[in-house]
Order: sequence, then C-alpha cells, then structure tokens
Amino acid sequence: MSAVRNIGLCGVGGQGILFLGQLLANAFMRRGLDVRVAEIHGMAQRGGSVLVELRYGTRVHAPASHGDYDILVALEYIEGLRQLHKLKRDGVLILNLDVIRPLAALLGEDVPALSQIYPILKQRVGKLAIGNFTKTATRVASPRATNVFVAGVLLSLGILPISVEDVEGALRVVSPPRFLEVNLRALHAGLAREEVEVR
Amino acid sequence: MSKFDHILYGREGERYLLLGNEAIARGCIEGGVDVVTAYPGTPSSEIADTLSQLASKGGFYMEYSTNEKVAVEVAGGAAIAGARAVTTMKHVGVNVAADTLATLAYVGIRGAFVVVSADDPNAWSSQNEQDNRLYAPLFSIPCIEPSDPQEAKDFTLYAFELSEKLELPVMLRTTTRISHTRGPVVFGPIKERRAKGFVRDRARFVMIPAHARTRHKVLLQKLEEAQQIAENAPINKVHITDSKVCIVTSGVSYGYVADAIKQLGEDIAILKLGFIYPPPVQLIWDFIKRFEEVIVIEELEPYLERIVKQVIAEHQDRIVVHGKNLLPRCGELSIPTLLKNIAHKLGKKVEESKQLLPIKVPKRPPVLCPGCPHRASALVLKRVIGDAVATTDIGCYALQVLPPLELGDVLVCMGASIGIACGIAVATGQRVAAVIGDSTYFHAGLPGTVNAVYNKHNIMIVILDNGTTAMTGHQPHPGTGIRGLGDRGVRVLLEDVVRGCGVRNVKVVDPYNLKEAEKAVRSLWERDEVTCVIFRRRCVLLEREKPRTIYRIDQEKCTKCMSCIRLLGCPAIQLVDGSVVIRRELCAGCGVCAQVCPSKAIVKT
Repeated sequence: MSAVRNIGLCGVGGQGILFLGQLLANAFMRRGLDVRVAEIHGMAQRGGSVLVELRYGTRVHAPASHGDYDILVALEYIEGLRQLHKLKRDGVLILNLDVIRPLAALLGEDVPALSQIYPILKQRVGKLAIGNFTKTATRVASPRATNVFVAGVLLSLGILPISVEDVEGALRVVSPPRFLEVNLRALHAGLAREEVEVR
Repeated sequence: MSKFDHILYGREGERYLLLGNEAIARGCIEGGVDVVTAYPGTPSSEIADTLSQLASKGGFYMEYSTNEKVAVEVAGGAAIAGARAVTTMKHVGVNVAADTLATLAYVGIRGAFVVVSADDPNAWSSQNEQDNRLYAPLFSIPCIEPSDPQEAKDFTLYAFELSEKLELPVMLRTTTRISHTRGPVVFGPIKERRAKGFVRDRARFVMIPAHARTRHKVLLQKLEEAQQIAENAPINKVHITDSKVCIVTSGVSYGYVADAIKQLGEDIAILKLGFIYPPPVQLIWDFIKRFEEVIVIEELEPYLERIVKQVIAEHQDRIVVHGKNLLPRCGELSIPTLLKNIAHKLGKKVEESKQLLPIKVPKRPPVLCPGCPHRASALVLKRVIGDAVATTDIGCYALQVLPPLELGDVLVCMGASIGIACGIAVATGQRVAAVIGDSTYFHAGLPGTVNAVYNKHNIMIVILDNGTTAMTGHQPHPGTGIRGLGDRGVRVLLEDVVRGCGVRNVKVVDPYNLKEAEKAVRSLWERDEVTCVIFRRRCVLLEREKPRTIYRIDQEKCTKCMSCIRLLGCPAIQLVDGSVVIRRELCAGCGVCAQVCPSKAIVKT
C-alpha cells in the first residue's frame, strides 16, 4: 500500500473526537503503518465544531489533508453535514443521526432533514452507515462511549487494514482503565452494527 | 512660563532651536494630539517630558505609564475610541510592548496612533543596540525615519496623518543622534482636534481566532495601500546626478553621507528614504537601475541593503525566485493549496477537485461549558453596566463575546484589557469595565492595575477567578498555590494583590448567586475611581467528579418563553420535540438557569 488515506473525524467539542483519533492511530501503528493525527486544541475545542484529520499509509509526511477524505466519521449529525463536502466522491460516510443543536438552531435556524440531503448522499457517497449511535451507545454502554462504538462500526465495514485485535490493543493503551470495560462493550456493539443501517 | 512654552505657543513660520525630541513633541502638538503616554528611556525621554510640561496648557492628556506595554494599551485604547495618540519609548521598550503592538496592528485604530521608537546605536545609554526597523515588518506596521530635527517635527506630523488615513499604528523610528541633536525647526500650523467616541465593532476589535483570521487579511490590504503611499511619499528624496555609483540611505546616516561626499568634492546621486516600511520598491528600482553600483549606507542591521538586493534580484531574469507571489500570506499551507499554486511552475496541471458545495447548516462557534461560572458573571455584568464599554482579555471568557452573552468590546492580548480600558475611559470620559481572568491577571494585569490607580483612571477591574488556567488545560498559577512540581507553593491571593496595587474597593463575589453578585458589582460600578470585583468560582471542569444536584424543567410551568436559552446559551438546555429540556448528562447543577426563569419552571431534581 503506497497511497496515503485520509479520514475526517468530526463532531462537537467534548464528544471524544481526539480520543477516537488516537484510538485509530494507535491501531494503525500496531499494524506497522505510519500515521498522522492533526488535532485542534484550545479555544476551538470548547463545545464548538471539532474536526480531526487522520492520515495513514506506509509513509506519511503532511500533518493534515485539509479535506479530501476517503472516510468521514461524524459523531454528530450537523457536523457531519458541515464537513460532507470534503468527502471524496464515492467515499465512506459514517453518520450519527443524533443532533446537538447549537444556539443558532435553538433560536430558529433550520437544520436540514435527512430526507433533504438524501439525494446528495446517494449521488456522492459510496458507502453509508447511519443510526442514532448515541442512543445505542447509551443503551449498551454509556453516552460517552459513542466514539468507541463508532470505531466499531467503522471497523465492521472491512475497509481499514486493521483488525479487531489491533483496535482492542489500542483501546487498552488509550482508554483510562476504569472506562476500559465500558469501551470494549461499545466497541463490540459497534462491530455487531447494533441498530446501524449500512447502504 | 516654562522653558517649553514656545513649543506649544510658537506660531506657524517661526523658527526655534530644538532638540530632536522637542521637535517630535512639537510635531505631536501640530498633529492635534489628544493622548500622550510613555515609559521613560534614553534616548526617548524628552519627548514625553516636554509634552508632560505642556499637557494641561495644551488641553491634552499625558501620563507616564507603568511600562511600555501599558503605555501602548492606554494610547492604543484611546486611539480605538477616536483619539490621536502617541506613545514614546526607547528601543528595548518595544520588546516590552511587542505583545500588544503585534495585535493592535490587526484591530487598528480609529483616530491616529504613533509609536516612537528611539534606538540607540553605540549603546550610549542602553543594554544593547537592537535595530527596531526590523519590528515594522514583524508587526506589519508602517515605519518612517527622520534625518534631522526639522524632519523629526515634520515626519511626526506625517506619521499622524498616515496613521489616521490607514487606521493603523505607525512607527516613527529615531536614533540617539536624531533625538539628542539640536537644530533649527520651522513651525507649522496646529491641527483641529478630532471628535472622539467608542463605536462598537466586535468583529474588528475583539481578536478571537475567527476575527483574527479576517483581520490579518485586512491588515495585508492596508499594507498594500501603505506601499502605494510609500512610492509617492514626499518624505522620500531623490537626488540624481550622472555619477556611476549611487547611494541609498535613510535617517541619521543621510547626514553623514551628505557631508562626507561634500568633503570628497563629488556630486553623487542619493536616494534618501523617509518611508522605510513598507519600502517603496518601485521608487528604489527606478532610482538604482541607472547606476553600475549601489552603496547602501545605514547604521546597525543591513535592513535597507537587503531590500535593495531583493529589488535587484526581482529585476534580473536569470534565476527567478517565487514565493509569496504564488503562496498565501495568511493561514496555513495544505497539499491542495500547494498543488493549486505551484503545479504550473513544475509543468503540471492539477485538476480542480470536484468537491460538493458545503451544505448550509447552523454555525457552531465554541461555547462556554454547561455550568461555566463565566456565563453567570457575564450575565451579572451586563445587568449592571448595561451598554457601557467592556474590554476583555485572553482566556475562555473571551467566549462571553459571542451571542447570547455579548460581553466584551475590545480584545488584544494578555493583560491588555486594563490598559485599553484606561485609554477608552480617557478618550470618551465614560467609565469602562476591564474583564480579565485570574491567570491572565497574574501574567500581565498587575502593571495595568498599578497604572490605573496611579493615573486615576475611571475603570472597574473585573477578575474572573476560576482557580486555574482553564483554556490551556488547567495549569496551576500563583493564585492556586500549587507548583509545577505538583506540590504546594505559597498561594498568592488575588484580593491581596489588587489591594496591594492600591485599589481600595475590592469585593469577592460568587457568580452563581446572581442577586448578591449584582448588588456587590453595582456598588463598585457606581463609583468614579478604580474598583475591583473578583468573581470567584472554580472552573466547572474541575468539579466534574463531585456529586451535584442537577436541574430539570417542569413542563407544566414552562411557558416556552425561551428566556433561559436567549439569556444563557447553556449547551445543556435543548429543544426536544418543541419542549425546552435540560440534558441530564450535560447539566452541571450551577442553578443559574433556575434564577433567570421568569416562571420558576426550572427546579432541582
């Protein structure tokens, strides 16, 4: 494998997007792959739009791809739509249908419904995995494990050069010990694609 | 009568023997200066000393500030509020003021603001010989350089006009031999004063990242405008002869050049630059292209020499150097940006990636966390100060600027809230609130506080004490008493420090108790001296693990008036199927929403 692949990970500050980036990056490293995770810290993080870019390949140089994603993972619906234009044609989209409304939306601004954007998705996206991941993660583990649940969904699609063992091993490295069990449960629920629709 | 009166009262056309620094003082007066601030330092001191003697008679404000940074903040704040202002300092003083100057260039000013940097070649009275011309490109502010006392006066006036036109700070750079040399100076007329007043414009004056990115572009546009002005500036002088060699010089060096070539009995072509940043590159090329050799004469750094070499390089076509003519000067690089801009030079074509247009979705700027004490303190402050001007500072609380709280009208750099508040208070005659966090206060708030007390500024200092350096990741600071080693140091209490700086009225309040806090803040606001309120409540992220009582909304009582959302913008309050609800997992239990609900519908669970 020579080409560098780009993954966009987006959501709302506080959803564990940086953690998800580190989890996947560690898994790639366990496979002997080179990896870069471009994180955003500081002010940009507090409850606002967060976008982390992960790049992997035999050798990676540039820290960020600034779009051009092979895969876009959205932990929140509005954020997924916000970044969708950066997904390559026929790319893979993993979209959480849970909506966290920013102030502008609470005060009346419209959030496009799934039915409205469905034509775009159908035309552009190669593979789509959707569901209310927050709801499922809450049921099987904890709302805060939504990120790890989504990692499981991504892995289940069989498009990444990493195995379940790689991700489990990475989870043992990055997860605080007291959340490890909850996170493992979330990972396996994601792998089983509980309440996830794949098209 | 003081020995400086002629500098104020001297009439147009009259001629006096003035020290270069006195000439600059006269230039300030002719320019209609409103506010003068300074920290003394050789060779700059006599500018401020002269203006200090004349301020009351001349009807302008003058202060010695506690340091150069505070001096720039007070003058810059006044200039933001429409005043013409000047700050004078020695070269190393600019190092102290650099943090403020670098961002003041982004926000710019509405009146005029001239920074005088008096450099000291030969270190006659200094610890180094640094060349402050190099600061001009770093700050992206125009720089002009006089070469004798007459020019010191004239160029000061020019600097005010340039600053007013560009709405940018302008640096007037002198050296010891300009500042401390006497010569005849012919006076000009004195300008009318400008109308002053603060006009709220957060996108321009509050440098949160989103605004800063936009303002950087504006600054570069202004520099282009400055470049055009520089090309035709009357302060550049061209002397053409049929010599084979020409000379490019500026400032004090010109005097040496002029006399030295006279001694040689030669008439050599000279380009004397007054406008040295942005450099008038076309003027330079048009001048030097007719000669075989160029001698660049200047003290200290090869500043002009590099510019001349660059100009020549750009006009020779054997090896063409590309750089910023292809790539952006703002923001980051990326692979698409690189490919788009350089591929054609490598003989390749890049296909425009056929990306989708972005879908229109509501913006999600960063927000204060649920239960953040800064939300409550902003609410209290707005209730008390109403529409009055509030400056703010670097930290999470900069987010108070965004809707719905909208507190904070100017944000420049660490600690600048206090100095800028003083400047706006001077220019407008109104009381101003200066909002600053605890860690930021320890970092750079103390000199501003001492300055405000000493100079009797009409401000209220508001310290938001959340017991940590929250924005950067919860590091300790002197107010926490915890050291970098993780052990205990000595806790330095903010109220002791503020009182120690001479603020007599200091109150510590709990922002979660809106009523009590409002009462205390009102009593401090309704005075005309420096007062200080400390909102003390630990950062909610540090309290996450503690047991808490969360709140819920009684749907029978809720009238869906949306007051809680409109006033607070707390992320824990959401709309679900038309009902206002509190998300249990997000609620921090601060209880502030329960205090603002007009229907008492928000209750403990």
